[in-house]
Amino acid sequence: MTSPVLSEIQRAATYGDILLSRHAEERCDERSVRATDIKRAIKTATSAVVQGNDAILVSGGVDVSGDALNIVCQLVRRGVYIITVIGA
Amino acid sequence: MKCDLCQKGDLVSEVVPRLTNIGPYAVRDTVTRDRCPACGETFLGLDALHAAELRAARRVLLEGPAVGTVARDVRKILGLTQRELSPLIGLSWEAISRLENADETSPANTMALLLLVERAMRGEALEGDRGEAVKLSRVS
Repeated sequence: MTSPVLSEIQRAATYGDILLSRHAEERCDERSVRATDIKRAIKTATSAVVQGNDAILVSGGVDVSGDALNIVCQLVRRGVYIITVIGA
Repeated sequence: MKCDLCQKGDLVSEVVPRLTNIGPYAVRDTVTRDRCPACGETFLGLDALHAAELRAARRVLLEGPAVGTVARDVRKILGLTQRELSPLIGLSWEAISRLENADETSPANTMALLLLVERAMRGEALEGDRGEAVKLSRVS
């Protein structure tokens, strides 16, 4: 069953904006993570665990190639703020 | 608009340079990013990033053949798996795999990918609501 936190992130990502931090931008560039990879990773994620400082680890999702892609994000007024991305 | 994180500063839009890597190419472009003068955080919309990636993909495909890592990167930018791309460009997914791992392609493959990129730039969906691929119209 999908956790309420994961459902909220997926809802916010669908109906709100997905925003990248500068750090997330740099990690995406380093690892060739594309915008569509992030969307798919959120869509296919199976777990969301609240960490410290309101950060949420979204895991279990995959990128367009089917490789694991975890995301650390935060729910904000406009949608989802991506703090960083973590490849497998 | 107030900062999404600190709620103090008023966000400022900035046009900043950006390099998008596609295969061995680095395409120079700009994106508009919001910055909070109070806390210093920046916000780049995923849609703006996606648009920059599509523009870069189009430029690379106009310059040269879609082969190897270029083909793979363009497919990823389109957000399609090899199986999803297959009916859209009329190649089996095995042929797409070979295309992405080989040094040879045809102008038709490059043109087919370019057309898909341009469709995506116009905001057309390349997948159906349930994830099934939508067939391209025949190009005469």
